[in-house]
Amino acid sequence: MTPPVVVEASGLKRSFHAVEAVKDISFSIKEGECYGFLGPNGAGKTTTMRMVYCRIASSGGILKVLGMDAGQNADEIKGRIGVMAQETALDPELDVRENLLQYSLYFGMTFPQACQRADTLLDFVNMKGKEGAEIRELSGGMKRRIMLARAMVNRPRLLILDEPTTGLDPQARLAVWDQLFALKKDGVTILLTTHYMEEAERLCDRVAVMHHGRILCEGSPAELVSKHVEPQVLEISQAAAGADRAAETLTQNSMRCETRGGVSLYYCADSTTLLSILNRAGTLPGQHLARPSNLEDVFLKLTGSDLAE
Amino acid sequence: MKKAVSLPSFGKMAWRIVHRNYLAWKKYALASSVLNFGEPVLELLAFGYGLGTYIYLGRDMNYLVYLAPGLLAAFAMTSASWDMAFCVHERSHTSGVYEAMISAPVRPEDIAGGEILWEGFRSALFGSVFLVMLALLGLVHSPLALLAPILLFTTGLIFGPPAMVVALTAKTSEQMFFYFTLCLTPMFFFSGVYFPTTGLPPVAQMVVEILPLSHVIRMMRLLLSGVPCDLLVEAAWILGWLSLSLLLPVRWLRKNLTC
Repeated sequence: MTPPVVVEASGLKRSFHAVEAVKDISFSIKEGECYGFLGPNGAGKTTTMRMVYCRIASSGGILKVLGMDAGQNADEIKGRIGVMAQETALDPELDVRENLLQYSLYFGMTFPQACQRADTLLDFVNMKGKEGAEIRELSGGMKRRIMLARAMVNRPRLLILDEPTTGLDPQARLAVWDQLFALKKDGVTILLTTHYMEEAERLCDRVAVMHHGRILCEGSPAELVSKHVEPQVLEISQAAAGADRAAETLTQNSMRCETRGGVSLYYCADSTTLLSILNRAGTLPGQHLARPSNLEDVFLKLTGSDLAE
Repeated sequence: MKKAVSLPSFGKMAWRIVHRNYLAWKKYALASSVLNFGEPVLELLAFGYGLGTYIYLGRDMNYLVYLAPGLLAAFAMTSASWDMAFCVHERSHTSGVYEAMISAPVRPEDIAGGEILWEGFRSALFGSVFLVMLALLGLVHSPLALLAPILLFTTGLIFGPPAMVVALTAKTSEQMFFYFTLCLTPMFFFSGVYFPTTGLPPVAQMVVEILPLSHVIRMMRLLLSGVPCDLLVEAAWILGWLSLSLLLPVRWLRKNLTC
């Protein structure tokens, strides 16, 4: 039996005046799945998310969330999902516990229920002992954890996270990931956007790459890698001694070559072949890295490495 | 998502917004109260006890007794307006508090209702404290003063919504001063706080009669000092302004939050 569909969009569009932010996209997210939108800034990810959590209406197409029409049943959908968006900051006039308490009240809980929920969630995000802290005293990572807790007040089965870890240091990012893994294990469906490829590879069962308001491709990270890029890549820093001499040999022998961020990337079926060719020619630069291709290679191939804006 | 009805809701969710404002307020309650009472007390001292000793209103009326209800009514107006304008501007433009509410199942009409109710309570509470001070100074001469909190509450409800609209439409907080300087301050000076409106030129009198503060002041003067007024006419004006005020904020809030 296939799990039920939690979010279903077909032909979804949204324009702001003359600008088409989202142009005719279709996707569906199954229960228990973690689904990620990847894309450069301005790709239409956030607009898509805002339509899913019923913050803005669509300009066309069909959008069903938890089986309900997003345009008709916005209030009911809002009551049953959890949202952690970039613009919905914590309430700076309230302390940590009051933020959770007050948000629980917005979801219709009674006062004692809301108190209990706030305490449970403080525990979940490891913020016990910080109940009375002012929001401005918190680090970025703590704020993000409280925002995640706040998105969970109504025990949502669908959680929508718009760039959950942007701007966090590695430790704080890992802490957020831990919590997301715990929720995923619990069967919560997660829809997220990110521009961290590693995040998408670790957390998402399926990702969609968005660019200029369209979905360019969709699939599991492994599927996308095998479908869109060569299996392996040899990276050589342009600053490395002998990089120029190696470049000639490699361009002839690799399947595709790209330069970005001061590094030349030679895509190939098997990097050991390339390395042995270089060794034979005696032109192997000291600084090199042979690695399997990853989602970032897919992303940059499909969306281009130029700045989107 | 457009709805035809644009009235604030005073249902359960609005009361939860009131609860939020209470939580936020109680942190700096003492500081804000001192600042709040500073101005009317100064006005009472300077104009009542200072300038007032040179003013003769006839044998039956002491100037302080004349001034006190006017100051109380005007205090409810300014305190509700300033608080509403600055809080709403912060919450709608800067801190994203409304944005977060609207992502939960809170509607713009709940936010408007909650903020307006809060200003009503705030006016009633602060006004009542000022009223007690006036009573202790011997400036309250009628038992009807016990009804003053209701009028103070209503005053908060009348002046809160326009301030909310000002805050929602102002791009920067400086722009809100146009409203205070061009609307509230003239109303404060010419609506009969310091001197009877009958002394004004006829056109000015007409304008002042249309504006809400003069009616609130006359009603307050009846409650505190027993100065008779045309009760039904004043009540009609007050209720009329209340209805008009309540029609304002929801559509602006929707526009500001683009929903």
